[in-house]
Amino acid sequence: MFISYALMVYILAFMNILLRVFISSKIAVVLAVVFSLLGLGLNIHEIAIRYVLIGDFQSSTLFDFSIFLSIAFNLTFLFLFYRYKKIVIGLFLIPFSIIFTAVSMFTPMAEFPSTVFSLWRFGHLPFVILGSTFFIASFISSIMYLIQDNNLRLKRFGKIYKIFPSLDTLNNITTICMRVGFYFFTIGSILGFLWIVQIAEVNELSWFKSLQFILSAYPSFFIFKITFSMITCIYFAILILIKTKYGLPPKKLAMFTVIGFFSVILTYIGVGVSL
Amino acid sequence: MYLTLLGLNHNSAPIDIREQFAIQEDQYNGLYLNILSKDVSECCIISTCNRVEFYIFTDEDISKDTFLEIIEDAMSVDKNKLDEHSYHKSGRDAIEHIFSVASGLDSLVVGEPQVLGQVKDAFQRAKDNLAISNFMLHLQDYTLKIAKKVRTDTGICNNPVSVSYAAVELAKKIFDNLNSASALIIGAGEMCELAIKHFITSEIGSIVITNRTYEKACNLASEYNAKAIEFDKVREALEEVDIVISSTGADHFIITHDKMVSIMSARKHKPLFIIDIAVPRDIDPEIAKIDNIYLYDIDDLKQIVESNKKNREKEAKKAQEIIDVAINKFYKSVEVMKINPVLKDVKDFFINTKDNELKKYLEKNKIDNKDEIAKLDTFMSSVINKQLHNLFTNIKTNVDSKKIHTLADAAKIIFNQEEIDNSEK
Repeated sequence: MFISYALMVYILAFMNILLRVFISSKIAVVLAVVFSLLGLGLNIHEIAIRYVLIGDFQSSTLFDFSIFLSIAFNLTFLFLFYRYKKIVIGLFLIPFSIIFTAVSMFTPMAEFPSTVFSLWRFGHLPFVILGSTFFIASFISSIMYLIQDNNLRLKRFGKIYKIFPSLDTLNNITTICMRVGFYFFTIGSILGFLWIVQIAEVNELSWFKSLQFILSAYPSFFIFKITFSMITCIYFAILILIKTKYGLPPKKLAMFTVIGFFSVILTYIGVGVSL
Repeated sequence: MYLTLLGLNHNSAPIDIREQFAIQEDQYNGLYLNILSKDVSECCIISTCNRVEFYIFTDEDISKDTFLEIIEDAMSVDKNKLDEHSYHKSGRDAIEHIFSVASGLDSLVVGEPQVLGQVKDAFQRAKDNLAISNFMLHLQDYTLKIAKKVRTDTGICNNPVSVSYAAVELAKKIFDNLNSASALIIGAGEMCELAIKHFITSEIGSIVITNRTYEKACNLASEYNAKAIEFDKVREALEEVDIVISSTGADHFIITHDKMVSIMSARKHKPLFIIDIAVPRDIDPEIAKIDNIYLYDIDDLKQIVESNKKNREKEAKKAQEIIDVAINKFYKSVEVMKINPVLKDVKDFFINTKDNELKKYLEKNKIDNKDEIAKLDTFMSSVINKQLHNLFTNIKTNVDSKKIHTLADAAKIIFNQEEIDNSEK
C-alpha cells in the first residue's frame, strides 16, 4: 500500500523536476523536493513496518534491497540538491528511485530466517548501497561533464547546454560523490567482512573457512561480487589519492570515474545474480 | 474618460530628433503644471534614451492635433517636427503600448531589463508632481504587474544579446561562481572596458589588465579597481587566471599553441576560458584543441547573440499573448472601479439601516449591557457582510461597459434611490 504511494510521489517529484528544467517553473523546485522527502518518508515507513512485523531487518531479499536502493538514490539527490541547488541532477537520480520502488512493488516479500543477530549485517547493506549510489551519481555527473565539455568545445549551445550546470559544478559533484561513495562503500565492505568473521566465530571456524563455507553455498557469483567490491574500493582509493596529492584535470577525473563505474556495475551484477 | 498617448521612440525618430525632445530632470515640474492646466485630469511622462512619451487622461477624446498643441505649448517645440516623428494612440492601443514598453517588447533590444525601472520611476515622478490619481495609479499597478509577469513567465530576458554579456554568460557555464575566478584583460580598448564592466557586475573575484602601453593599462585598472601588469608578464598571469579576454591591435598571434601547451602544463591543466575579440586574432586558434581550454572568437560570440535574439523574438510572441489577456482584465477592473462608489453607497445604506434598527430595538427592549450590544452589532454586521459579499462578487464578475449603468441604476432603485443619490451628491 505505502509502496504504491511512494511510487506515486516519486513520479510526481520527477514530473516537477521536468517542469523546472524544461519550462523553468519556480514552484516546481519546491514541489519536487517536497515529493522526494515524502517518498523518502514512505520508503522508511515501509522498512519500519517490516521490522515491526518480522522483528528483524531483512537485508538479503530483493524486496528490501530495492527499497534500500530507492532510499539511497533519493538521499543522494537530496544531498546534492541541498549542497549545489542544481535540480537537474534529480532528472537522472529520481528515475532510479522510481524504478526500484516499482521493482519492490512487484517482488514478493520473502522472509529469510534470521541467522545470527548481527550489527555488522545491519550496517553492511545501507553503507554499501549508499556508497554505490554516490558512485553512480559521480558517474552521472562525469557523463554530464563530458557532454557539457563537448558542447562548449564544439560551440553547441542547444537545450542540453542550457540545462546542464557549469563544468565547475559538475566537477565538484563528481569529486564529492566519489569521496562520499568511497567512504561509504569501504565502511560497508569492512562491515560485510566483520559479519563473515562473526559467522565464523559462531560456527567456530576461521574466517577463511567461513568464507569458503559461504562460497560453497552460493554459486561462483559470490566471489565475483567480493572481487569487484575490492577492485572498486582500490580503484577509487587510488583515484582519490592522485586527485588529492597531485591534482587531476577535471576532464581526466570525469573519464576515470566513468571507467570506475563499470566496476561498481559488475559488483551489482554479482549481487543481482546471487539474489 | 479617455487615455491618450503621444510619443516618439527609436522606431519613429532618429537620435538627433530624440535628443531635441529629451526631458531633463529639472523640466518635469513645469511640464506637468503646464499640461495639467489644459483640461487634462492626469498625466505621466516616460522619458528614456530611446523614447519620450506623454500619457494623458482626459474627459474628452483628444485628437493628435490637439495633443500636439498641448505639447508644443508646454515644451516650446516645433509642432510640425513632432508631428512628423511621433505616434498617437488612444484607449486600448495606448494601454497595450504602455504594457509593451514596460515589458521590454518595444525596446531597441527586446527584453532589456532597465526599461521596467524607468517606467516605475516615471510613475513615481508623476506621483511626486501630483499629476496622477485613481486611474493612472491603477494603470501603474497593472503595468508593473504585467511587466513582471512577462519577465517571469516567458524567457524574454533569459539570453544575453550583447557580445560582452554573452562572454560573461559563457564564463558562467565553465566557472559556476565568478567570485572565486580571476580574469586577465589583454588590451585597453572599448570592448575590453565593456567586458570589465560586465565582469564587475557579475562580481568576479579579481581582474588583471595588461596592455602594450603600460600607462593605459594602469589608467583602466585604477578606474575599475583592478591590477595592472606589464605586457611581458602575460605568461606568468596566464598560469594563474581562469578567464582571458584579448583585444589588442597586434597583427600577429600574441599567444601561440606551443606557448600555451607549456602554460597549461604549469597550471596543471586547470580549465582556461579564452575570448579573442581582436581582429586580426590575438590567439592561435589551434590552442582550442588543447584539453581544458575553451577558446571563442568574435564570430562565435556574435553567433550566440544572433541565436539569442531569435529566441527572444519567439518569447515576445508569448509575451504578446499575456498582454492581450491583461488588457481585457484591465478594462474589466476599470469598470469595477467605476461601479465601486455605487457599491459603497449600497453598503452604507445597509449599515445605516442596521444601525437605526438596532438603536430602535435596544431602546424598545431597554438593553444597555455593552457586551450584549456588541454581540448584537457583530451578529447583524456579519449577516449584512455575507449577503453583500455574494451580491458584490456577482456584480463585479459580470460587470462590463454595457451593463454598468443598468447595474448602477438597478442598485439605486432597489436600495432606496433618494438615499443613494443624496450620498453621491
